[in-house]
Amino acid sequence: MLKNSKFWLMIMILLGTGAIAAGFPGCGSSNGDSVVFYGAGR
Amino acid sequence: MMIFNKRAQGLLAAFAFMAASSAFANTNPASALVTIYGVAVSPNADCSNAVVLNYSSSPTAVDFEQTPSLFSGSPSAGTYNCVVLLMSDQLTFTPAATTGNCTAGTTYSRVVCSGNCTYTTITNASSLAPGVTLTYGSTVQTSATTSQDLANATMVPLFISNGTSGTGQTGLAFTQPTGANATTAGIALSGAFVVPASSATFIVDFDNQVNGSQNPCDLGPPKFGFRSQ
Repeated sequence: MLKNSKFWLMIMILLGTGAIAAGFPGCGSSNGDSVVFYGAGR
Repeated sequence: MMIFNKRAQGLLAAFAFMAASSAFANTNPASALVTIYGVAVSPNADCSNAVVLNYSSSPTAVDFEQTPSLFSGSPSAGTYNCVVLLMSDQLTFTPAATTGNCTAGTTYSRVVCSGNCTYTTITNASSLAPGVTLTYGSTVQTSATTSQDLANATMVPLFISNGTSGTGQTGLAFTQPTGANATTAGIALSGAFVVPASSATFIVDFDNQVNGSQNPCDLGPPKFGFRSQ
């Protein structure tokens, strides 16, 4: 039973993390986002 | 003895020849100032219908050795097979080390499109702004006769295309890759510029191109590049 509790706790944490990540569609880049142009010597 | 003298004379002559023809090792620039006017993107490998993302008619030179942020733009999502960088062909640099006629810390300016270099003219250069499509005119030979002809420096379009294998070191970097020049003009874009993207970087690589064997100190052709992520 304890093992099962830990299992479901892990699942809930994983699902929660995914939900948070999905709440930020601007992470990385998305359609219409600004692209920053840099210069470099190499 | 006579034979020895002749051999010695031969050796001395060989050393003298080697000394006279020896070249100074090239070095890197400590700074490389480039003036960037703007950028345009095109879905086409021949860079036609390139739309301006950002443009300034009076930009200040920025040091590419310091990885400067040039500008930002919001291109529509899609695949761009050509990126056009509008830049001045006059570059200013300081050698990282003293070699021959190049002195560390001293500022030198050179025109990278000179001599036989050609460039494609932009006929609507006076009305460029975000959203405007570049209009190409004829391809002409530069008025700058040598790399020191700073009076004839001008704005040139650097064509970075997915359809060419150009290296930028043959005087065609600023020529539209189309027609007979489709695969030789401009410089190669490794893979298309795909938007969404978070950043894009223009590379003007002068490593080992500061040439102290020339008098005055000279600058070899840079390796141009582009990468996005």
